[in-house]
Amino acid sequence: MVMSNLRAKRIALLVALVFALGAVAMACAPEEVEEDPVDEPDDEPRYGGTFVVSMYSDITHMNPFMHTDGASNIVSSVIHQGLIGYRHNNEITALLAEDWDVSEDGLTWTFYLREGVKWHDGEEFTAEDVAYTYELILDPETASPRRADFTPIDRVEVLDDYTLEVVTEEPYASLLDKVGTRGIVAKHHVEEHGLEDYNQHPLGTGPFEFEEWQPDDKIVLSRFDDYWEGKPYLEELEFVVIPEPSVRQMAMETGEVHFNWWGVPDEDIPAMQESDDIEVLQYLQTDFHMLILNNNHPFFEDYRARQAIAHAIDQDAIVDNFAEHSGVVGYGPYSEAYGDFYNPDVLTKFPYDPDKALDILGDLGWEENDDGVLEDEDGEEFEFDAMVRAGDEQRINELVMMQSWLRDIGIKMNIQELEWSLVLERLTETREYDACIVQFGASPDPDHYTIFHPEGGFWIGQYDNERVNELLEKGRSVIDPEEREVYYDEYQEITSYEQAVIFLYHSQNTSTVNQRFEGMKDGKPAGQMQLIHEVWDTEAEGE
Amino acid sequence: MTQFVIRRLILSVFIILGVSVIVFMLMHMAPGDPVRVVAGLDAPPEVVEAIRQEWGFDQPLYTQYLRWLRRAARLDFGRSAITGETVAYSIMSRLPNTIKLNLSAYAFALLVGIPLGIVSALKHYSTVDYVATVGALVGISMPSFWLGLILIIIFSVNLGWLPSFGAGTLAHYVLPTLALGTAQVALLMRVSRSSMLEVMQKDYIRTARSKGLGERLVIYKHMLKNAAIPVVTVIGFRLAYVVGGSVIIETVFSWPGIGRLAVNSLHSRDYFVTQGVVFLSSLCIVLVNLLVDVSYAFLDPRVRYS
Amino acid sequence: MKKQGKGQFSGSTESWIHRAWRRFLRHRLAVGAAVVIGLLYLVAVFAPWLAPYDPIDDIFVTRRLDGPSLQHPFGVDEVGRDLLSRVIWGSRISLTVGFVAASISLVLGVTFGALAGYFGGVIDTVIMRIVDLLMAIPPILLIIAVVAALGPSFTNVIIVIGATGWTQYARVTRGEFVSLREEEFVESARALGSKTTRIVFYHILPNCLAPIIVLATLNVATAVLIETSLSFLGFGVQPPVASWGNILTPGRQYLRHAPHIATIPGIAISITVLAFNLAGDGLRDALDPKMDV
Repeated sequence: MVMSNLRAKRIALLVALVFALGAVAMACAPEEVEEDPVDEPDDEPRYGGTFVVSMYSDITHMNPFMHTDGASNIVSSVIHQGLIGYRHNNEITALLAEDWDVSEDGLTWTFYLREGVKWHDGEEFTAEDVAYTYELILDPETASPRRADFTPIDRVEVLDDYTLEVVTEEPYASLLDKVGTRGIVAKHHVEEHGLEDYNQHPLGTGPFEFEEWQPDDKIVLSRFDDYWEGKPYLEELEFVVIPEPSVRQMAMETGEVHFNWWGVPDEDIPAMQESDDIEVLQYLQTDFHMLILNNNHPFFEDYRARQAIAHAIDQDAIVDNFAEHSGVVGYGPYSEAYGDFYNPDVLTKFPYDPDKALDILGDLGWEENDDGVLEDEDGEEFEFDAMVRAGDEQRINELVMMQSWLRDIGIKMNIQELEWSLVLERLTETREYDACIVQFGASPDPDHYTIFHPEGGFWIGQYDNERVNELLEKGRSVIDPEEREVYYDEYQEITSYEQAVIFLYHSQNTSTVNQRFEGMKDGKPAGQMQLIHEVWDTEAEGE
Repeated sequence: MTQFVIRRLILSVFIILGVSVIVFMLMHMAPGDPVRVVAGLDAPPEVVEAIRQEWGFDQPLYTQYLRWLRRAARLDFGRSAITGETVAYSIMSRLPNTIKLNLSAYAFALLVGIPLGIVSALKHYSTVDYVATVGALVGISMPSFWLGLILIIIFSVNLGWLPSFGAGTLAHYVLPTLALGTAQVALLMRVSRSSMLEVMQKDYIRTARSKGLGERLVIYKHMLKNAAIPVVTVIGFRLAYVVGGSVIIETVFSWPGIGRLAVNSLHSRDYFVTQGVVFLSSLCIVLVNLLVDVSYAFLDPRVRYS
Repeated sequence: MKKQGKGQFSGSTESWIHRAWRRFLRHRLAVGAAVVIGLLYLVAVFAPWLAPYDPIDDIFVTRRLDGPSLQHPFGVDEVGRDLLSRVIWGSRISLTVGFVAASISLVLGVTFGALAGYFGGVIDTVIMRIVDLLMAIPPILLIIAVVAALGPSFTNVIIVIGATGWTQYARVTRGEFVSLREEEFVESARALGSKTTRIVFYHILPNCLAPIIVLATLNVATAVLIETSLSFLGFGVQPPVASWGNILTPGRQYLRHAPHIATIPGIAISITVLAFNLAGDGLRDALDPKMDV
C-alpha cells in the first residue's frame, strides 16, 4: 500500500519532470540567452524535491536507543524525536515536551508533553509511549548501549496522557542531556511488531517517515504531512552510503549529493567556500582531539613527563597543517562550544619548546645515549607505540609529524595502525597500550564522568586524580548550573595542567550543502537534521 | 559415476565445515570483539558485559562454535551483532547486487576478451597481437581502486556523463563494470588465445584446411568449438569467486554488495556475518568445482575417477 | 590436464635452455619487461643513494601538497615529504613483498605438490584436501582474516601473502609429478638404484620448472597488487614506512587537488605489475607455448 503510493508519487514526479523539461526546452528556444535564474528572488519556500544526504557508512540501528554511531543517530533523529533536542546552536529545544520543571530536591522531573502530536501511523502520542520507551531501555533484556544513561532513574510515572514524572535516586544534572534527548518509540507499534526487526519498520513522530532501506546503499524517507511543526517542504529525503571519502566529495561537486556532513578534507574547504554551487557550514564541536598517553605506563605516570611531551609537540603546526580551516587549538577538555562552562583563563598552554621538554625529561632521569635516544637509569630506551584507527589518514599524518618532533628530542614513537574494534578494545577493555591518537565527540553537557572518571566507561588514559574524580562526581549531582561551573572550572584547570591527555585541538564540524537548497543551518549534524523540515528546494515544482 | 558424485558431495560438506572452523578460529584469534563497537567509546563496563552475555561472546570458543554449527545446520545463521539484522537478510539484501555486477563485468570481458584472444591467436606475433596483449595486461596491472577513482573523475566529475556512486539504474553499471571487467579481459584473452593456438596445431584443423574448406569456416566450425572448453572452465572457476572478487570495486563505487559486507564484518568482528558470507562463498566455490569435475566426466569419457 | 610431451631432458639440457632463451629473446616485449624489472631492482637496491631525501624524516611542512618542482621532481606528499624519495624507497618495500611472498608460495607449493605427487596415497590425500580447503575461501578474504589475526605489519603482510598463495603451485607441481613419476626415464633411474632425492631433484623437478617459473613471475605481480589492496583496505604495511600501497592509499584523497601524490605511485605500480606480467607471458611462450597456467 505504502509502496504503491510511493510509486504513484514517483510517477507523478516523473510526469511533472517531463513537462518541466519540455517547458525549459521551449523557454530556451529564443535566441536571447536567459539570465542566471539564481538572481530571481526565492523568498517563498516551495514544496517538493528530494534532498540527498551522503553518509560514510551504513546505519546500524534505526532504533533510537540501540545505536552509538553517527550515521544511525542522524537518520534515526529525523524519524524519532526525544522530549527535548539540541538544534543548530546546541541550545536545548523543547520537542515532544512543551515544558518541564525540577523539584527543589532535584530528584523529581516533571515533563509536560505537547498535545496533538501524531505518530507516523496517525495514532496519538502520549506519556505512555515515553514511559514505555524508558522502561525498555532500562530492561537488561534489551541490552541497550544507552542503559547506563538511564540507570540513575528510580521510576517513571505517568500522571496523565500529557504529564510525566521521572524520579531519580540522586540529583542527576545531565538528565535532560542523557535522557531527555533520547528518541521515543511508539508503544502500540513496538508491542505489535517487537524490537527484533525494528530496522525494517521504524516509526516515530519526526518530520519524515520511513519508506525503504537498501542496506549499504540508501535509506529513503518521505514527508510526514501531519508533522506537528507543520508540513515539511521536501518531499523526500534520501541517505546514500558512500564509503570512499574522495567520492563523497566528488558526488557533492557533481550535484548528485546535496548535503555532506562528514569529513570534508581540510584542504578542500577553501575551494568549497569559493564555489558558487556549494555552501560551507561550520560549527565548533564539543569535542577534543588528543594524544592519549596511558597513565599506567611507567613513562607517562608522572604528569611532568606528559607536560614534556606536550612541549615537544607543536600544536599550532598540527592545526596549521591538518586542520587549518576546521580546527581550533585546544588546551583542555572543553571547547568554546560549551558556552559558560568553557573557561580559557584556567587552562595551561604548553608552547612548542623542545629544550624545555628535554630539561623536564632530564629531571625525570632520562639521558641521551650514544644513539641519540633517551634512556633511563636502567638503560631502557624511551620508545613507545601509538595506536591509530586504520585508514584515518588525517590522524596518521598528525602522528607522522609528532613522530619526527619526538625523534628530535630522542623519543621513538612507533605508529600502529589498527582496526577500530581493536583500538576500542585496548582503550577501554584490556587497557594495554602505550598511546593512542583519537577524537572524542562529547555531548554539549559538561558532564565528563564517563570520559575521565575511573568508574566511567571510557576512562581515558587511566587518568586517576582524586580531586578530579571528586569534581566529576559533584558536577553531575548538582542541578544549579552556576555551582556546576565552579567544579568544572577546577576540572579543566587540573586536567589541562597535568595534561591528562595531550590536548591537541577542537574541530569545527564542517558540512557542505548544495546552494540549491535553502534553510540548512550550521551546527552539529544531528542538530542540523532536526531542522530538516525547514529546508526547501529552490528548484522544486511546488504543489 | 553416481558413486563419484556422492563421494565428492560428502567431501564438499567436510570442506565447507573445515572452512567454517578455519574462519571461526582466525576471527577469534584476531583481538577485539564487536561489543565495543556496539556499545560505544564511553559505555560503562556493566553495559558492555551485558551486551557480551546477550550475544554469548563470553562463552568458551568451542561452545560458541558448536552453537553456531547447530543453528547453521537448521539454516539459521544468527544475527549481526552490529545491526541486529539476521545474517540471512544481511546477505540476501546484498548478494543480488554483487551477482548482477559480476555478470555485467563478465559479459563485458567476454565481449572484449574472447574476440581479442582469437584475433591475437590468428595473427600470432603480429602488431595486433602485441597491442592486444599489452592493452589487456595494462588492465590487470593497475590497482583497481586507483583505476576506479580515475574513471569516476573522468566520466562523472569532468564529463558528467555517469553517476559517481550507487546502484540501481543501468548508468550505474557502466563504470564498475569497466573497472571490474578490465581485469577479466586479460584473463579471458589469454586463455582463449592459448587454447586457440593449441587447437590450431591439431591435425583435424590441418586436415580441414587441406580439404580446401574456406578459412572462415574452418575457424568457426572447428577451432572455436574446441577452444571454447577451457574458456568455459575458466569462467566457471572465476564465477565461484564472485563473493571475494569485487570487494574493492564495491567500496570505490559505493556498490551495496556482499564484498563490502564481508570486509566490514571482518573489521568490526561481526562474527556471524563473516561466518555466513564465507560459508556462502565456499559453498559456491565447492559446488562450481564439483560441477566442473562432473561435466568433465560427461564430456570426456577418457577421464576416469578412481 | 597438460598433454604436452614430457621428458625434454632426455635430450640435451643445454640445447633446451638455449632454445628457450632464443624463443624468449624473440619476444621483444618480454625482453623489454625483463629490462624494466632489472632497472626496478637496481633502484630498490640503490635506494639510499638514489633518493634525494629521507622518505620518512625529511618533512617540508611549508611545501605540503606542492606539485613537481626542481627540488622535488615528483612533488611533495600530504605530510610534506619528498615524493620521489618515497617512491624510490617504496620500490624496496613493494618489490620485497612481491619477491619474498612469491618465493614463500613457491617453496611451500612445490614442496607440498612434490610430496603429494611423488608419494601419492595418504600424503597426497591429506595435502590435496588442505589445498581444497584453502582454495574454498575467497583469497582476499582469507588474506584479510589472517592479517587481522596476526596484526598488520611489513613481515606479516609478506608471510600472509606468501602462505596463502601456494595452492596453485602445489596443484601444478603435483600434476607434473604424477605424470612424470611413471615416465620411462624416471623408471629407469629408479631401476638403476638412484636415491629418491636424486630422482626428485635431477630427474623430475627440472621438468616441472617451466610452469613453475611462469607461475612465480605472475605471482610477483599479484603480490605487488595485493600489497596495494591491503593498504587500501587498512590492513597493509604500517605508516610511515613508504610502500607503494602506502603512498597511493592516502594520496587518493588528493586526486583532485594534488593529483601527483596518487598518480605517480599508481604509475609505478602499474609499470611494475605490467612488466612482470609481460615477462611471465614471454617466459610461457619461450618455455612452453601451449602451457595454460
